[in-house]
Amino acid sequence: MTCREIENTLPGYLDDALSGEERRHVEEHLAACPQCRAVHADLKRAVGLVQDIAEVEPPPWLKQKIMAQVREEADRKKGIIQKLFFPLHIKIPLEAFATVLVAVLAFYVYKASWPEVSRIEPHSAPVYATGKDQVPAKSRQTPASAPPQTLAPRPPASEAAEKDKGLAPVSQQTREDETGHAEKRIGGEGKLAEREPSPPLIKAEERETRPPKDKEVSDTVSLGRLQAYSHPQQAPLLEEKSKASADAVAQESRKREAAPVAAQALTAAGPRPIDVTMYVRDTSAAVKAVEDILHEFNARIIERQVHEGRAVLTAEIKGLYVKAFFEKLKGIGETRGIRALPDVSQGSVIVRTEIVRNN
Amino acid sequence: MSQQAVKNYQAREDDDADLVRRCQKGDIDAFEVLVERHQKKMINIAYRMLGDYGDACDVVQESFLSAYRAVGKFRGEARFSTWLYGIVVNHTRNRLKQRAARSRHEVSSIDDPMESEDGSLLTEAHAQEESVIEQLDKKKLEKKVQVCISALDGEQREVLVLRDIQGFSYEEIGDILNLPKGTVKSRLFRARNALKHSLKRVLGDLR
Repeated sequence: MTCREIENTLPGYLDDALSGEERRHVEEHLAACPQCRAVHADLKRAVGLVQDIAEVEPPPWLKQKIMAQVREEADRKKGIIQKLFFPLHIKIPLEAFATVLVAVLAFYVYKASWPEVSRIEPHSAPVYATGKDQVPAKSRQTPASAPPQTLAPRPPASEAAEKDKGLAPVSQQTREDETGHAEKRIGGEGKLAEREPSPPLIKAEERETRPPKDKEVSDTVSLGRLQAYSHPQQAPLLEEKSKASADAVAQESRKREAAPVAAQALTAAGPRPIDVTMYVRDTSAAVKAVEDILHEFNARIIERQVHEGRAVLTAEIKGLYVKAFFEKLKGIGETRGIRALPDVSQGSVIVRTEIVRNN
Repeated sequence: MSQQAVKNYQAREDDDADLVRRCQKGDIDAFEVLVERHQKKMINIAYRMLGDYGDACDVVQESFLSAYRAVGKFRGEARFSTWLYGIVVNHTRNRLKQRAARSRHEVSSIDDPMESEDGSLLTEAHAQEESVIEQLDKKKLEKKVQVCISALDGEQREVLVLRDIQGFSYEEIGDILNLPKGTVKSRLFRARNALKHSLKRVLGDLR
């Protein structure tokens, strides 16, 4: 080994990091070479100086400063998590969005399920509740005399009589209309303000078609109801509860029909529901059958009134289907009141089917 | 290392592992214990490599913050201390690079005459009869040694500081610097010889 090689090996010799052979070579060389011994001594001293160098202490503030930074960092991390879940400035728009979403959803659900709601509504309608007990009873005991108690707020008898008198000419006109100006009649159905003449018209027709014993009662019932229908603002005519339901129905029909009907309403004299009376053995079965038929024709049942031995179904049906509907009705029982049917190919008409038990 | 020392060392490493797990779950107090435990070693590594106490403090802060941010990724394949010292070495390297970039034109060579604090040229020291070492108090001597360490090549300096000042084994240095043991050795031997030459030039007679 040359002195240069020894010098390069000496740092390892200091650490005792040489192999046995290398170590032996170095020791032999050092023993023989005073120059390399001096180099070795210098190296030892130099490394000793470095090894002896004093350790410095960290300043006392260092840890605090580090931890302050770390805590700030941790808060920032936490802040991100909070931003995602809890903070106010995100939460408010989220809540607002959720509210709008719920409102829109509720509206669509309501809209989508409305036909069912309207069909069911008359079931629970107070008109039904109040009429159920009293109307059939009245119809049994007072066929032609006083109006039922439920309709107590009805206009005085004289007024009613006046109305009755005044109706005859109108009913003639109705027949004309029925044959000649069918569209007019359909057109006005949504225009509630123009419904006024309709109850008298029905009455006039009923008088002709119905057997005398039921006539008066059904007249008063239908009048009362139709008044509620067309004049929600005159609701005191009915009991509070019926007022509410009638209002709801009136408002709804207005909402649904106002737009498409407005134009037709201008030319129409007023809505005139087509009345048909059926005589059947089993009213409830017949009601069900009629309802099924109405559904078949996509008719919308506006009102459903079922009593013991008597029921009235008022429905809105496409003009196109009216004929077919009546044909079907004939399959259920004896029908009366179907005269010359209007030739309606557009829009819809209101058909009032009265189902009476045939004793 | 005595058996007791080995036991203590292992216990500390186990403690580190436990503290690290707590840190990973977000326990800041556990991290504080780790800072307390390792800050001295960290600052000494940084200080001996940088030669400036203020810079060393900055680097240690940066290193601990980096460690805190990355502690979630620490999988325990190496010892936590080794991982931590690796971070401080990296930050020190970056600081040296910044410094070099800032004052490239001012960089002085080891061959340039160095000025001592009283303004006299250190290269004249060896001309004096008496050993300079005896004349300088320990603090001043340390400053000279630090100057020589700072004058070493970066790679050599890292190994020398970790081995001769911090007392890490070749294996530990290999882990910290991510180097094979052979490379650690050869760098260390070259570093020692370079330091010896440098010290001789600065201090004159080393004996």
